[in-house]
Amino acid sequence: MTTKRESILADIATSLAGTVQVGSRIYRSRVEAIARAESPAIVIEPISDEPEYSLRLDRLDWRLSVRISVIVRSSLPDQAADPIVDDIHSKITADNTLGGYALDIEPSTVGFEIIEADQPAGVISMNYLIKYRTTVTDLSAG
Amino acid sequence: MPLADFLTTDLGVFLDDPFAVSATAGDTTAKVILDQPGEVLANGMVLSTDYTATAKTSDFGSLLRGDAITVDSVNYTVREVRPIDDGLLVEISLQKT
Repeated sequence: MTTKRESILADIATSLAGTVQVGSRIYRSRVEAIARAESPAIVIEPISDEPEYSLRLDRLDWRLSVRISVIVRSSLPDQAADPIVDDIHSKITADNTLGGYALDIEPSTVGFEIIEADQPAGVISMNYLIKYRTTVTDLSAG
Repeated sequence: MPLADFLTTDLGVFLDDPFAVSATAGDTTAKVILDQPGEVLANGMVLSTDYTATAKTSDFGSLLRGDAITVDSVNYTVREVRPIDDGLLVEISLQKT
């Protein structure tokens, strides 16, 4: 069985297909650095997942923190990333259930890292809190 | 001639063949040493190349951010120029144009 967490992450990756300027450079939990020729690109990764007992005690309510990083190269990285960021947010929030797996999506902090490189680089980190529910004994059900 | 005087008056020995390559910025053409190690930045998110030319200050010390320079027939743009040691040589950080 697949956990709802994994289903949510997979749905995010699927829903971001076709993001402007990115093409097929959408990666799940990529650990290798992004080269200049691979930019712009998107990396999707889980940060944490915290449960608490639901009012129904046979259920767990989870808060999954997901980071979507946009990596760009430009003399004005944050400006270059702006249309990509806009498109990602629209795609993520278009379906608050993320394919039926989530209860809600809550946008969180957006971080900006501007770096000197062989061409100025930017990493814009878009964080989302995704709420979903499972049974206590089965992370794929609920 | 004392070694120190020799090194000061004949900096060209540092920028001689076989390691040096030709560079041109504006009307100036001179030898530089080009290093280009890879580097990983932004907590592992960005892979970059740290293009750095070492040159005589008297040749390229007045370059500024955004100036064009050709090194070994490749076009670059200057990121920054930093004097090193006694200031007779500079390190020029470059980005590929």
